[in-house]
Amino acid sequence: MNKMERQRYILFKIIQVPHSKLVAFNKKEFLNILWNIIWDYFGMNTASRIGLYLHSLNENFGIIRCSHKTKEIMISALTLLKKIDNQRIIVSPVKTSGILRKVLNAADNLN
Amino acid sequence: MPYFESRLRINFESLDKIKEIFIICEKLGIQNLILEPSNDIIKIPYKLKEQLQKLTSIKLFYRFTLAENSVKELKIKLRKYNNCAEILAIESPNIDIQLFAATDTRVDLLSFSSYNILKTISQGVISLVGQNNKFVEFSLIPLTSNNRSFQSKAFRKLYRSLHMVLKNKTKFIISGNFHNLCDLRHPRALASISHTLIGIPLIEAKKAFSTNVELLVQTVLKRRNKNIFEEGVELI
Repeated sequence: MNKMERQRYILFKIIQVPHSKLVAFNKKEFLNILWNIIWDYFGMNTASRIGLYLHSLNENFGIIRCSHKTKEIMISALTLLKKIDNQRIIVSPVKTSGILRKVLNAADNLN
Repeated sequence: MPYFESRLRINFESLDKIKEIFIICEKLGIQNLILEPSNDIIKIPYKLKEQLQKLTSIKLFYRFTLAENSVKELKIKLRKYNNCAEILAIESPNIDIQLFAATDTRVDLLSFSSYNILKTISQGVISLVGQNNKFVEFSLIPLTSNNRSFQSKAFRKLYRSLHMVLKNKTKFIISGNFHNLCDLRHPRALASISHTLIGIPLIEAKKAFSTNVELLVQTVLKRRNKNIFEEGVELI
């Protein structure tokens, strides 16, 4: 019997590399880059199962939602993200949880 | 679970650059770092270690990697590391050197970090490394390449080698070995990449970044302890 799909929220930190121009993030642009990475490395088969939703994004961190089965793929995709707007950045996943409140609390601690 | 970045090349002469690297590592949340001198140093002075540790809250460990061309050269070089207090790794595409390193008691680690060296890996060497309680090291350096065909080939080789190691039950570690500051990533994220792109089980991937590295560090600490003669024999 198929179990119901659960959701995972992933909090990630955005680290701007020293000596580079500060990058202003646009939600749409960020999602486009993320989808490109998923298609490039994991293909359409996986991309259709992810259920990606960008909950929030600012200069320092962001929260995305995905299905619990594709959590590791999402962490990999975030890790593989190298450039936005031709500026080098580091995206590092910090916390994963099924409860949004916990992730938001962790985000508060980051600030 | 403490995660390790088990290979980070650093020039010990420029402290400002080292500080910059440490800041990025702290931002990433890395707790343990194994540093490798990129300049030719045979022994890391205690004073320098203290000085580096003062710069950061990250736990620092050290390693040396020897990349010689022949067994004769390696034997001569190894004499300088007879009482080495750090992790000693050998990296070479020469199979004779790999076989020699797998049996030598001074060597802790056999590194297959670049694509050219990875091509030479064989079942015999892996088996010998396992029998002598040593470790094999792989690296995720192909991740940084922009050439997709090279990246695919390198991941294929990594996939085959890692599955060979898993089948032999030899202990292995995976390092980032990134040369550029922008390529640095948290080891937990690299474990995810090893699981999703290379296809090793997540538990094994996590072990390669934490438990196995911890074991490697402990073997070196035991070697420093003069009361321990060999595995299982200790003067109380």
